[in-house]
Amino acid sequence: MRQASAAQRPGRGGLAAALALCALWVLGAGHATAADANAATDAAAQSARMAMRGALMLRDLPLRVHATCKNAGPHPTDKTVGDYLAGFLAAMQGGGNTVESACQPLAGATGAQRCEVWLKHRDTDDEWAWGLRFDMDAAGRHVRQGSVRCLGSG
Amino acid sequence: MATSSLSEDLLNSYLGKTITDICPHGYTGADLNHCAHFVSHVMGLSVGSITCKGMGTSVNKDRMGACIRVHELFSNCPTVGDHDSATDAQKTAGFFIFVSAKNVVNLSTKTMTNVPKKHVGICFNGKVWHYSNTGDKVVTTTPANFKNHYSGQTNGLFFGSFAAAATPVRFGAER
Repeated sequence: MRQASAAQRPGRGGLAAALALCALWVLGAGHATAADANAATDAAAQSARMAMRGALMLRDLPLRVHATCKNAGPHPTDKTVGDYLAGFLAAMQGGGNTVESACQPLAGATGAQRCEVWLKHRDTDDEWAWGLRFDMDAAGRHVRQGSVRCLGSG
Repeated sequence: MATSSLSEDLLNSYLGKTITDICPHGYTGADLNHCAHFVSHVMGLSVGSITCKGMGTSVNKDRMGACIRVHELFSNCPTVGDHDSATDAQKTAGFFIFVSAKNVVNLSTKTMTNVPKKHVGICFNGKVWHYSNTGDKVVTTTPANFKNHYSGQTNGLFFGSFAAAATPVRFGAER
């Protein structure tokens, strides 16, 4: 299992890093230095950690928090976001497995972050991706529970 | 039920198409499972807690959003049952065909647990049209092969009749 990270759009780590480097190029002295690259990488890693921490903080939140989460657990007795995530994490056996997490500034909300965590699995025809979206404060200390959505299809 | 226009010709209009060709809302990630998404676009069904319109990256406000979750589509079917118990009339009308582990489906409550390994297609005239997530395109197969979609578990094959709101549409003419 690997962890990817991003800032531009959750789950697009390479693109986010590339965009950050481009911004540094335009705004800076005309060339991106190794320090610039490291800063972009650090920002992406911090964003990924914030999203993962937020998801863990939601462990005991009932799945009835939103219609997208109701009955979304992969086991009939699942009741919480923790159950939901645990079920899909446990199914990430064999094949290719990816955890993607990232936060990005929430439009119109000073400092707030919109975060996503995705669990992805691919093993021939057994291919799926399920995840969470939620909003956090700028410090990444509090999750707005009403913002929680369970993502995924299939 | 406005499914009288369902035909092999209509379903074949989707053959080989990718979800990018089909979905007008940009919900097209290659790492997502698009099986329910595909059949719901074909049948014009917006049921469920969320649709591709709510998840897409380039929403077209003039187009409907399609159901994207297999278990929600299953619960929306007026009638469900074991595939082998489908009547000739049901086979003639066509139906959704579901494959998953046998023990995650409760036919009496019309519920299916949201297990990762579940898949849906449209069965008509003994053929199944479904979205191959591996090939990232619409393909056909037989019900017998469809039942073997997942290895390592005892699969069950189920049918679900189309809801009254279902309106099959040819590729390129979607609502």
